[in-house]
Amino acid sequence: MDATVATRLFRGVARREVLAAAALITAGGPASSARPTDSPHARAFDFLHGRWRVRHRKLRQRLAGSSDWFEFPGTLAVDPILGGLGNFDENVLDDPTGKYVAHSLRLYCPDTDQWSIWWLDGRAPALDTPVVGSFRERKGTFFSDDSFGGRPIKVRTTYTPLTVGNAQWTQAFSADGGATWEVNWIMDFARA
Amino acid sequence: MTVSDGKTLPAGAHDFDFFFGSWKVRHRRLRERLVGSREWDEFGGAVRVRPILAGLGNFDENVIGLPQGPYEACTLRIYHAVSQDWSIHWIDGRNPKFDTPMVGRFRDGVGTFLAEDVLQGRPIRVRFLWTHEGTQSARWEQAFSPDRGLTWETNWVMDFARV
Repeated sequence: MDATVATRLFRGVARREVLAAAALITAGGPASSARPTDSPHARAFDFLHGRWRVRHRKLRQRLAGSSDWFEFPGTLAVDPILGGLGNFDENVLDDPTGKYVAHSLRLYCPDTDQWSIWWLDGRAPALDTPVVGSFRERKGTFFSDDSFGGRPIKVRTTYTPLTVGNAQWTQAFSADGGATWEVNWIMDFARA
Repeated sequence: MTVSDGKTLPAGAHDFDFFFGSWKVRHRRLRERLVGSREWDEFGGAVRVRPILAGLGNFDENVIGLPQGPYEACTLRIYHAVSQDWSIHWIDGRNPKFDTPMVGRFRDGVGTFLAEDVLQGRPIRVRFLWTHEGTQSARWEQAFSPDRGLTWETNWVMDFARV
């Protein structure tokens, strides 16, 4: 048995697994959650592994009809974790209002065949609601419900691998339940 | 970079600095939990820890050498400057997701982190204890309490030695 298979099958270690193991015993053995990497979606972020230069373009004001964009550079370094079932990255953002560090944690969920993506802002670190979604025809689209200025919004992020050396990420907000979207942040990635 | 300048970090944000780097791990794990078991399994492992968030957290990657076969797990630790607490998130590579974090802090050299959880249908309290001697050895212990913290059963110990 190779390590990946073993990784999928073994159970009963951490405090969480005790619970999972109990469920598995009841269900008669390792079940659905034990077959994560069979789906092509599990490898969907492999293209992003590595080092990138980033050009950030951000809308100055969000959901206010602004068309005033500003630009700044950054870097991105993405490493696979958990044997490829996730990745963790480090962004350095040279924002004109102050340089800062942020991380994304992306986890593939075998049960739902979807990815969840958390953004950790170094200026106020907290684990918020992730955006959740998957790739279709080489474009990854991820959604979450959030609030902005006291009103509920939907958040949509996209990842598009363009060439071997280029990719793009976008973020958009919707204040009308997803009927219309305003893109407010674009990152263009070029291989470092 | 100014944001990673250690002088600007709150003192508590340095609590886990001793843990940065690579370690060998000796795991001892109680075979069954909260049933009076005294049978322990022992196995090896490795962990690599790095600072993140310009010092306001750290991220580690574990290989856990279960006798039946190894698996991977990660820990995300975030320091909250306002509450002066750490939240500790464990991510199991066999079914990656976030559960309720362990929350707590170091006091007099001991890090104590707590969470409420459920074990086979009954509510339990979970406790992590962290102790270390300088940057050369460290210990993590996990205990469960079925009675809201009155009594504790330690069920997993990791002893860390520098690689």
